[in-house]
Amino acid sequence: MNFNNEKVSLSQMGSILVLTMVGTGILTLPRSLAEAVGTDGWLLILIGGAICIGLLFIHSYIVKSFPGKSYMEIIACNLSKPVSYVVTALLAIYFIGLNAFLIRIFSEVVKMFLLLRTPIEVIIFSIVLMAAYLARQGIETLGRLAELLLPLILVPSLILFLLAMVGGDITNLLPAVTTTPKEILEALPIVIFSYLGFDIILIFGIYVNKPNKVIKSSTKALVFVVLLYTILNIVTISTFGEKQTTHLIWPTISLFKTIEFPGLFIENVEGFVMALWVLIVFMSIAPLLLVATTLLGDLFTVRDNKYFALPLLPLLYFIALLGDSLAEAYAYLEKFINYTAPFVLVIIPVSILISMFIRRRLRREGNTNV
Amino acid sequence: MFKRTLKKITLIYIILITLFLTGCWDKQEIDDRAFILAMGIDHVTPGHEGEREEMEEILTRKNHYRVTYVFPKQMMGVGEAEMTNVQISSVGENVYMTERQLTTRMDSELFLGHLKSVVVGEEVVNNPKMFREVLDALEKDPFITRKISFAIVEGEAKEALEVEPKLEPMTGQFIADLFRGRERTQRAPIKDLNEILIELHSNKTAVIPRMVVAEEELKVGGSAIINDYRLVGWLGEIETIMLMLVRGQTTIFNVTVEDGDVVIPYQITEAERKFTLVESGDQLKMRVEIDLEGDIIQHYFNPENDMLDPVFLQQLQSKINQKVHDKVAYTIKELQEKHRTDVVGFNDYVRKHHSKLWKKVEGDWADIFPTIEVEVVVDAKVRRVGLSK
Amino acid sequence: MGFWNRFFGGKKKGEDTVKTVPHKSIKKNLETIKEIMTDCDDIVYREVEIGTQNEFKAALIYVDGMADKMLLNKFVLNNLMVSSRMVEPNGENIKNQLYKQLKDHTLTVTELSEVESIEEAVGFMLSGETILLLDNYNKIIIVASKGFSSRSISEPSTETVIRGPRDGFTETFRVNTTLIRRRIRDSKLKVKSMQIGKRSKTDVAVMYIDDIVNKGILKEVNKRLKMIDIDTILDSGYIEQLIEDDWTSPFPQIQNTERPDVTASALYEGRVAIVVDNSPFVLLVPATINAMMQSSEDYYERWNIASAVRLLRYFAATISLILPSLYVAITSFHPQMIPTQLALVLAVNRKTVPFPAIVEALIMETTIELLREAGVRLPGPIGATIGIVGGLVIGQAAVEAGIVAPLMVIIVAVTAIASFAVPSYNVAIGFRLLRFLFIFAAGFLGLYGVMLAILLVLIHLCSLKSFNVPYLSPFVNYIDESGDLGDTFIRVPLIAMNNRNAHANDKQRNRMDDKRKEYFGIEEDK
Repeated sequence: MNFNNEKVSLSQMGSILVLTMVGTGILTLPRSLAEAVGTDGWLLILIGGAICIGLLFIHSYIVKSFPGKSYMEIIACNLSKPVSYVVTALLAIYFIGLNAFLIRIFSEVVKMFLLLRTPIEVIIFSIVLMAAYLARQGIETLGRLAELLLPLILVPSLILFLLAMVGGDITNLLPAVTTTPKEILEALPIVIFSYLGFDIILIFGIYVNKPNKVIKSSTKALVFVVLLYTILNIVTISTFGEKQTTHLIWPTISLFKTIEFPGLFIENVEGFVMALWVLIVFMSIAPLLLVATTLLGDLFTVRDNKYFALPLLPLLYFIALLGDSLAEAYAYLEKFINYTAPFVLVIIPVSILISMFIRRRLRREGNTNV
Repeated sequence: MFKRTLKKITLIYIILITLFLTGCWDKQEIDDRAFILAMGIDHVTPGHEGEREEMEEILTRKNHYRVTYVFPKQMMGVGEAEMTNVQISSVGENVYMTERQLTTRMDSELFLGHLKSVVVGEEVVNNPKMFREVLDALEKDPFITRKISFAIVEGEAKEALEVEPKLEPMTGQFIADLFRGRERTQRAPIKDLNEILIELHSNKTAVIPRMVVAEEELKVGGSAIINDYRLVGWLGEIETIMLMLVRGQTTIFNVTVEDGDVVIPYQITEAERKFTLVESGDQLKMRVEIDLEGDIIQHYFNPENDMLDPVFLQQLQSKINQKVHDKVAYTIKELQEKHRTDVVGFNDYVRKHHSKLWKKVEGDWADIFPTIEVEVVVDAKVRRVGLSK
Repeated sequence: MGFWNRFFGGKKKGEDTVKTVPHKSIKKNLETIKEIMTDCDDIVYREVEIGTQNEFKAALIYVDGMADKMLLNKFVLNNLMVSSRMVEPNGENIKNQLYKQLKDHTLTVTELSEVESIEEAVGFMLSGETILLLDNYNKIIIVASKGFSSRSISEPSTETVIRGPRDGFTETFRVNTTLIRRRIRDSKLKVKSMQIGKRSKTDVAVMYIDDIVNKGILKEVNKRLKMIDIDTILDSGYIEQLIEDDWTSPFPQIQNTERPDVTASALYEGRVAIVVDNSPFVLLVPATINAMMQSSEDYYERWNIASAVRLLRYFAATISLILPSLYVAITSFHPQMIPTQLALVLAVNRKTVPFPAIVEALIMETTIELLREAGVRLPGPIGATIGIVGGLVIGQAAVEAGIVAPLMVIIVAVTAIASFAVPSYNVAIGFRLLRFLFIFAAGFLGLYGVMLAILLVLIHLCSLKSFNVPYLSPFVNYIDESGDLGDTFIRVPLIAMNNRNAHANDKQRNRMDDKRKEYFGIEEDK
C-alpha cells in the first residue's frame, strides 16, 4: 500500500510509460512506416524498439543511481549547475513543444470525426484544461489513473485488433525483409518518434518508490509497447495493404472503423473507438504536461511544483495552433523533434553517464590514494 | 482556506456554465437530419432532360455531376409514423457542391453517416477524372464508412434509384441488403467500398459489382472491370463467379453438370485456390489450382446409377472439373485478351511471393499480363449426396 | 468492565471548562448544582438522611426519564435508607471510609465511580447517571443508572438483504457496540470512547481490531476526531462531514452502514468503525468505492452468483452515470453511431418533440428526481405508489403529449432503476448529481464532452483518498496487489480469499490457511 505522498509504485510508473508512448505513436505510425519501408514496418518497429530499450536502459540507470534526486539536481551534480539550468529549460521547451503538437493532432482527429463544426480552439482548450487539472493533482493521481486506464484501454484495443485481423489478409505483409539497411537507417527517426515519451522516466524517476528496481519495470513497459506497435502494424497492413495504408491520414482509426460486428446491436464501433481514442491520447498529453510543469517548477524553485500547470495552458494553446494546416503542423513537428530529440534522448543522458563513470573512477582513485 | 476553495469552485462553475451556454456548434437534432441511405452519381451533359432550374446550371457546362440522394422521410400519421422514400437530385461541379445546393431546397440537413450504398452511372466510370473525383469524395468524408456497398449501373444511377423495390420500401437499405444477399447467389463480386478502394490504390484496377435496372426491379449481377480508373468492359454473371473463384473470394456457388440428359446441380461449399509461378523467364506461366468441395443437391428419382458408387462419383467429379476448368480458363482468357486487365490477382501474387521478378516486370505489367500462359487445374470433390441414394 | 475509566481517558476535550472541587458541605454542593441547573425542571433532587441516627445527609440527583428509577429505588435508596441502618456504624472511622463502606457494602449496583469536580458529575448526570452527594465528603459518587427508553433492534431499512442477519443498529450507543462485540469475541477488539460536541457531549467510540488495523489509519482517525470542534453532533453524518478528506467531492469518502455484520466484517478487514450515539449509522473508514459497491449478501451467497451480481452492479453504476448523456450525445451530435434502423425510429419518435434532446433529458431526469424525493417524504405505502403511478402516468402522458420521445422515457426509467442497484445510497446520489453534469457536457460537446466528463470524474476519483488509502484501490494498484482484485467486480470463492486487502496491517494480511484446499488435495491423491 502506498501511503507516501508524491510517490508512485513501479507498476504505476510502468503504466504511465506505456500510455505515454502509445499515445504519441499509435496515431500515424502505420502510415509513416508504410511510406518509408513498405511492408517491413514490423522489422523497423523491432529495431527501433531495441534502440529505445538501450536508451531507456541508460535513462533508468541514471535514475537508479541518484535516488531521491530530481533530474535537474542530477544534471547539476554531474555537469555543473549552470548547465543544469540551460538543460532543464531546454527540456521544458522540448516537452511543451511535443505536447503542443500532440494536442494539435488530437484536436484535429476529434474535430474530424466528432465535432466537424466546433472551433478547434474549444477542443484544444478543453483537453488542455483537463490535462492541467490532472497535472494540478500531481504524480500520485496520474499514476493511479494510468494503472486504472491501462487495462481499460488495452483490452478493448486488443479485441478490436483481433476483430480487424479477421477481415485482413496476412499475405499483405509479403514480401518480407526487402528494405535495404540504408532505408532502415533513414526511417529510424520515424519509429523512434513513435516511442517518444519514455524519456519522462528521467524526470519522474524521483517519484518512484523503489528506484533500484526501475530498470526492470521501465524495460518491461517498453517491450510491451513494442509488441503493441508490432501487432498494430501487422493488423493495419494486413487489412489495408501497403498502398492503401499510405493514403490514410489516420490509419489506426480507419482500421477500427472498418470493423463490423455482424448481428450485434453495435453496427459500427465508431463511437466506442473514438471514446477509446480520447482516453489514449489524453494519457499521453497529461503526463507530458506534468513533466513540463515539474521541470519548470524545478527551474524556478517554486514551493509547489505543480504551480505551472495552469500558466502553461495559454502557451500550449498557442503553440498547438501554430501550424495553419495539419500538414504545416506536421512539418514543424518533424523539424522540432529532429533538432531536440537527439539532444534529450541521447546527448544529455550519455554525458551524464560519462560524467558518472569519470567521477566514480576519480573517487575510487582518490580512495586508493588515501 | 475553505473560502478560497469555495470561490474557486464558484469560478469553475461560472466558466463551465458560460461554456455550456455558448457551445453546441455541432448540435443538430436527429429529427432535423435526412438520413441518406443511397446515393447515385451520374454524369450529365448539356441538353439532358432535367428540372428547369437545373437546366440553367447545366448550360454553364461546368456542372456535370448529378447526384441523386435517397432518404426516408418520416410522415406523422395518426399515432403511427410512416416512412416514405424520397429521391432528390441536384447538379453541381462536384459531389460536395450538389450536397450544398440541395440544402437550399430542403428543410432538413443531409446526413451521410448512415449511407448504405453508392451507385455510379456508367458515364462517370468512362471518365477517369470524374471517377477519381467521386472515389476521393467518398474516401475523404469522415462520415461515410468504408463498409458501404458500391456498384456501377449499366445506364444511369438515377434510374436505378428511382425503382421502387417491392420488397423493401427503402431503396438504400434494399441495395445494401442486395449486396449482403450475394453470399447466397454470388452472381456479383462481394465488394464493399473498402475493398474496392484498396484494390484501386494498389493496382489502379478493380472489379466492381454491376447493377442492372429492369422493369420495376433492380438486380445486382456481373461486374465492371476497371483499368486505370476507367471502365474497360463488363463481365457476365458466370464469368464473375469464376473470377471470384480464381481470386479466392468465393466459397459458395453452384455449377451444373450433365449426366446424360440429367442436369445435376453441384453446390460448392468449400473452395480453395492456389497460384504458382511455373516459369519465370521471358514467358511467364502461371498455374491456377482450384480445390472444390461440395454436395450434389439433386439427381434423378430412382436413378439408374448408384449415387454412392465411387466410380460414378469419380465420373461426376471429372465432369465438374472439366466444366469449372473451361469456365475459369475462358474467364481468364477474356480478361487477358478482351479487357487486358489483371484483376485476377497475378500481380499481387508476383509482388508478394516473387518480389525480385516483380521489380523487373512492374513497369510494363499491363503488357505482360495478356501474354501470361495460364494453366488451370481443378480438383472437385463430392462430399455429400443429400438424403436419397 | 472498567468502562467508566475510559471516559477519563477520553476526557481531554472538556478540560477547557472550569473545575469546581466539591465542597465538604452537602448544602453548598447542592446549591452549586442547582445553580448550574437553573430552570432545568427535569432534574430530580432527592435528599435523604442515612445512618442509624440519621446523622448523615445525602442527596440523589438525576435527570427524570434518563435514569432507571427502579434501580434507584430498589438498590440505592432502599439500601441507603433501610438496610444501612442495620449496620452498626464503626465510630469515627466511618467518616473516612464512607465511600468504601458504600461501595463495598451498601450499594448493590454494578457500576459506581467517584469524580472530583462538580462539572464532571453534572456531565455524567446529563448522560443518564445519578449523582450521589454525601455530607462531609468532598468527592461525588456517580451511580450508573442509565435507563431510558429506546427503539428495539429491528431490521435495517436501508440495507435489506434476502439472506443474512436481520438485526440493525439502533440509536443507542451501547446497544450498537454490543451488537458488534457479539460478532467479534476477541480481546483485540478495542472500543475507544470519547465525547465530541462542546454542548451535546455525544458519545463516540472508535472500534478496531488492534493487530489487524493499520496503525497509520488509526492514528489518522483519532487525530481527525480530536480536531473536531463543534457544538453538537446530531448524527454520524456530522462526524462524516467533519473528518472526510475532500469536502468538495460528490463522492462519500466514508462508508456508513446500519448493519452490524457489515461493520464486523469491515473490522476484520482491518478497517476502523466509528460508532456515534443517537445514530443508527456506523461509520467505516477507510472507505473505497469498491467497498461501497459491495453488499453483505455477496458473501453469504455462493461466489458465482455473487460475482454475477457484482458485475451487474458495476454495469448499473456506469449506466446510471452516462446513459442519458449518451442519448443526448447520439441524438444531437452523432446519429451515425447507432444502427440505421434505430436512428430512423428515433428520428420519427422525436418528430413531435419541440425541445432539443438535452432539454428533453433534463425535463425527464428532473421529473424522476422529483418523484423520488417526494416518494421519500411521503409516508410508506403512499411513497411506494407515487413512484409507480408517477413513473407510469407521467411517462405515458409525456409521450402522448409529444414532449418527450418514448426512448427517452425508457432511458430515464432504466437509469433510475440502475441507480437503485448501487448498494450504497450515498454513492448513488453522488452518481445522480454527476449525471446532470454529464448531460450538460453531452449537450455541449457530444461524445467528446461525455469523454471529458468521464475523464474529469476519473481524475477526481484517482486524486481522492480516504484516510490515506486511495479511493479507487484496488483498481489503481492491482498490478502489485493482484490478489485484491478478487473481491471487486467479481467475488472469488471464499476458499480463495486468503488475504486481507492491502490497507490492513502488513503482518496480518493472511486470514485463512488453505486447510480446505489441502483437504481436497489429499482426497484427490487417494
